[in-house]
Amino acid sequence: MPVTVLIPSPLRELAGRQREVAAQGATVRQVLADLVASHPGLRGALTDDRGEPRRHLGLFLNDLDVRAAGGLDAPVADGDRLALVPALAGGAPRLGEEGIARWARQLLVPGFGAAGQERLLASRVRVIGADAVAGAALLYLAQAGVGTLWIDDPEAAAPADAGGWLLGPKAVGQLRGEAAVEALRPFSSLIEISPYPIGGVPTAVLIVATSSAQSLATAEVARRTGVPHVVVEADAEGGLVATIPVGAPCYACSRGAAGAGRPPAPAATGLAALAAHELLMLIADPSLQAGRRFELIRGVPSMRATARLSGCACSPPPPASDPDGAGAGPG
Amino acid sequence: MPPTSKSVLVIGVGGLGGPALLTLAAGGVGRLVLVDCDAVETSNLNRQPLFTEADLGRRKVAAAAERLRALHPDLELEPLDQRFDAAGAEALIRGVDIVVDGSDNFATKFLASDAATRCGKILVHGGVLRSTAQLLTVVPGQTGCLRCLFEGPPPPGQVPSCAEAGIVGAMSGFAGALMGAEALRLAAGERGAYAGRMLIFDGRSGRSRLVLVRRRPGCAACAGSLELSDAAAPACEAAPPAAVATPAAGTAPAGPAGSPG
Amino acid sequence: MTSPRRLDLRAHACPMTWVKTCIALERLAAGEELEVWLSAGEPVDSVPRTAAEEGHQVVSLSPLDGGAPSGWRLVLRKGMAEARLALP
Repeated sequence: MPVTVLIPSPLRELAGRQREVAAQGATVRQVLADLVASHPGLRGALTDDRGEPRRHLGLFLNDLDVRAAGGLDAPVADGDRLALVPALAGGAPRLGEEGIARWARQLLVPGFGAAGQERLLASRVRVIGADAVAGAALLYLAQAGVGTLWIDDPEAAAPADAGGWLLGPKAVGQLRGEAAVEALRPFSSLIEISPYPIGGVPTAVLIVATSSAQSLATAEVARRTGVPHVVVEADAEGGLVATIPVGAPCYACSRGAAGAGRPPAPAATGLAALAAHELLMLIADPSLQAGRRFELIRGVPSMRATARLSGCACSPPPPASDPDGAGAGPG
Repeated sequence: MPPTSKSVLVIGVGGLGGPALLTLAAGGVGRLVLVDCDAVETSNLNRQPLFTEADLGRRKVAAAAERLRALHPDLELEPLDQRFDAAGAEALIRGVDIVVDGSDNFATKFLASDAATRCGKILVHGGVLRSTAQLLTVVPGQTGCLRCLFEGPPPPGQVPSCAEAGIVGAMSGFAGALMGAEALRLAAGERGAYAGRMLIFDGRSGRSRLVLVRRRPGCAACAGSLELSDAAAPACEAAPPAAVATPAAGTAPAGPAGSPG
Repeated sequence: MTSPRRLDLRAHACPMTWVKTCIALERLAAGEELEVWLSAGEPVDSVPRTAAEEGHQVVSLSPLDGGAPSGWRLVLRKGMAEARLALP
């Protein structure tokens, strides 16, 4: 039984669109060499011009940072799981003393821990929508330590957007995204908060769009570019949160008959907090990869796993290495 | 229907009380009374949405009131920088219509339930532990109270495990927002979503359970014969972990779904 | 970056004592040992118990030189990776 290498979403196109690849080797270094040999497209992403593994490539062996376990020459055993975590330019952020003090309480939660916190710090999250509902989600993502938070909302703030959790009356008339950036920065100087840069490539997306059409369109873009995403649609009764990891049934399949289209109830900010929690877990804990949706009806959340509607374009094609087309895709 | 004529007491302005207050303020409640006796600490900033980095070291109630007023200039607020204790509980509760318990320790939670029951006021109870949230609305005279379900807090001297201090902000945010929304429902005259039934939500598995909370025959708190007490309540300087109680044997099923128990 | 094998946490109170212990344990491989110095009172009362509950082994707990008032030496052995909470 070989080692299972977990391929992060930005690299999956280079690995035959697979989430997991088997590789052989007695050490981490050998496993990487075997991986690159069988998937030459990964060579540029994983190794430098001398063929050495890139210095800033994050490697986690069974969820333990390889650097703490002996580095590239650490031994691997059959059945081990090696996760690749691509770093930002400048190297993966480390959790320092200030971060430990700030995030102490969540470091203790199973599925988070220092490894999970470092994944959060390394993530770039694009949040589409900065209205009163999105404000709650933005606060929790910022406080949780998402390393880069890009806020994408070019609309002007109306009175209905003020009086939520983030924007006060002074924000009315400003662009919502910019007002949200300004309002959010005082909550955390440990992360980067900025308006979404055109062409920026996020590692995860939260969609709090103000219309179903926008939700569907932006979710489809996220799906096609291989980015995990969470979608919130709030309505007068409560609303819906759909969690779509890479490869899971798409948002169109997940949402069913959602949304009465009426303005969000006060409970909508609870929905936004739930969406933030889903996104944080998705980033921090690589073992959570199943698609699911929540409906919040009169204060009671009800969850079910999502399923593909037959014939939907979101069905993954058979992997390139499986010419018979019988290989099972994720989800 | 905006509940602008109602007043709500919120105990604690941190991980649960904070999102509850933000939800209540946005929902147009008439008057909010805030009570907390702590100062803002570094480790609060992962999950308490009323506080920015500039608030470190400030009294929580002062910072909370300032933040709420910046978002809602017309809000009627009564900030009380004091401990919610047995001596003052009833007077505070009699002055409002609804009580929301965002406190983070067992002793205060039982005190809040006992006092609200004595005063005949509706109480929204909430607790978070790691990724699990629990919510219950106590309607005195109609539903069971916290003691009908749990009998009492753990005995003094039983130190909770440090690992129980684990909490992700977004989960306490979810619970606190649901508490605020429940209070808004009650203020509008509707029956509470958690009245007489405890919602236990496990954020990892995504599963919800609803546990019926009937009046327990012989419950001293419901009978009004229980003395209010501060037994084992922590000093205000300490920052104890958020509390989730485990049901007494023979009452509700033990432990929230999905947690290691 | 090597992970520390001995931590002096006598300047910290709960739950930070456990947070730091937990992080240090996380960076070790199963079976490796960590030595933690704790002050008397809540830290030494709760950290060993929490470590055991989280699946690690308490190898030893003894007073530091100078007796109990100067603190305690706790040696932990990291347990096997915890089973994930089951996702149905």
